[in-house]
Amino acid sequence: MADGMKLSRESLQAALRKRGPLWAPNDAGHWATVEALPELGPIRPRRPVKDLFTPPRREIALWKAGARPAEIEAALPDETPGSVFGVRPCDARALLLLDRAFLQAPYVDPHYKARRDSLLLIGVACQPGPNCYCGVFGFGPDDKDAVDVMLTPEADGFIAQAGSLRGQAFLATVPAGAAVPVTAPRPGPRPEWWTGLPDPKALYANFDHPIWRELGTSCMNCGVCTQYCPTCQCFTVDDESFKGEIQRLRIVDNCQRSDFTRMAGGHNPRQVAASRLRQRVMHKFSYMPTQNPGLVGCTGCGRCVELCPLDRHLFADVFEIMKRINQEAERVA
Amino acid sequence: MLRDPLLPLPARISERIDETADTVTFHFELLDESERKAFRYLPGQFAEISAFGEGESTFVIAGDPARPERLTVTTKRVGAHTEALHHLYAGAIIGFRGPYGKAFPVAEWKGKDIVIAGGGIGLAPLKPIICHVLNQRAEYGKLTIVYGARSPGDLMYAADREIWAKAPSTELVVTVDKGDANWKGREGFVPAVLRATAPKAENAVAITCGPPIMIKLTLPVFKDLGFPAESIFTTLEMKMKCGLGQCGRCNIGPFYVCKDGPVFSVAQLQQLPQEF
Repeated sequence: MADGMKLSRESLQAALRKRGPLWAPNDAGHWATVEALPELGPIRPRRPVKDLFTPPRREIALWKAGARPAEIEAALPDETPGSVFGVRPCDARALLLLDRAFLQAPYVDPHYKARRDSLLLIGVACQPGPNCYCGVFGFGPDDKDAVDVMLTPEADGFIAQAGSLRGQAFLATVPAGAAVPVTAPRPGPRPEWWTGLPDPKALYANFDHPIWRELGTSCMNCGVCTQYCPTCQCFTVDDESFKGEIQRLRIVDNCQRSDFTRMAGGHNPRQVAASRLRQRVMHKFSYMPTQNPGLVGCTGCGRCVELCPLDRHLFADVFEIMKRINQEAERVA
Repeated sequence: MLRDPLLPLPARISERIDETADTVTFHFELLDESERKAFRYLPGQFAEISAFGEGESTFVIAGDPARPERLTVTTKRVGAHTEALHHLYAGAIIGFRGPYGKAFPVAEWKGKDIVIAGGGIGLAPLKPIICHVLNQRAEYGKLTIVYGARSPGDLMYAADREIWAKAPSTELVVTVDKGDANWKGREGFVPAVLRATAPKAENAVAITCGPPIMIKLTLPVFKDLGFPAESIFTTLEMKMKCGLGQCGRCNIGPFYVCKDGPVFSVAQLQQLPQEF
């Protein structure tokens, strides 16, 4: 078992401050620059850390008032070295999925890449809450696979473990206390009734199952689940004009909106609510694992469960879908 | 530094052609000389075009791929963005990103007869195929083009059609749903006219694009004529924003239409969920 090292809060903070801006969740649970390491809540903050990498709104280009149309000013990626403190494993793992979307040649998003390259991810182990389900995906609250450094809080500081070579190099710069043995990773929580992830192919084979409509009737497609999801990647491109100035923006979007797929001329392949709920479940639990074996489009952060105004439970839905599908398969067999 | 793939390149409109009451073709050139000289595209690839201040929309590049410096899109006025585009004339600057998507596999079609069935503005993605076949006339067999529109006033590409009508080993059949007093040509829907034209399926490929209902009724005609699903191609219309396989909008099954399409064979389409 690899050793961890004891770090005092002060020495860690000094080393992080030396790197550049320090990002952490603020009191509202949003990611902001801070002067000192904040006290964190027991679980993930309200907003996923993806906000720093694929922000809800970012400028692509700007046409200044009075500029000729060909004078396009490109927005520049932020390459300032810095650190993010308080990243939870569920949010960090979600970045691995977003990497598949935004770092894949030939269309690399330079803004996303600049932040991924320049921000050190400092994870802090959490105390899972009632809607946390990372165990469903085979990792736990102190998982260090997707962060540079994982910290386990102690009374007078942290026990730090490197999760990457970059993290190892950073830890070498921090004045450390004694090396301490590290216990085995803690298992993640999952629903007691959970029987396992669905087979992506079985889910896809039931694209036309009546259960989608049954479930869809109690979803109002508000899209909160996708807006807070750490793995959701969808965006739109639009212009905003103000006093002669035109901004080309990349703005977060979500598949639960009724006009997400409405085409010019009115045709909309996902006209009904059920088809959009199906799209969300299929994308995360069938299409993503099919395209990227071993990766599921969910990391069990549970924000969608916690924030749904109609108390829908993604895992209960997926469980119910698979239960029905399996029962019917057994009946036929 | 990496270039943001969402950043448009400025391009200047060189010519505007009003095709019908609501459809305009723009020819344009990239302003940057090195970009213009390096630019290439293949039949069926598309681009994101912007009228600055109104965002972007997706259009197939409807030009001659052998003349990639002269870019072309044909646009129908259906919303705020196309409305803004239709206020632009020669000399105006637009934004361009592309080319995106998989092209029609024209290289694999060498030696075969080519059968094209287009309806309305659906002729736009088919035009680069026609240009390509006529550019390399000896490489392909007979070219049959069945093109239809609602009325004589809805037919587009008049100048191109004159050239196609005189091209060697090419049969151009033009039809309208309903003619007017001056119309001396054929009347009838594309699927029926295609059936009557009866191109042979042996050693041939079929390509169709048009309104969804036309495509729906044309595919069984190709099947009846003996074309296997692997030899029938179409290009999917699906809402897109980025063209890069990132924005999530055109996701159907495990595919992104912008990246894995928009060109699909009917055999490939049969593997997709029937969502539209």
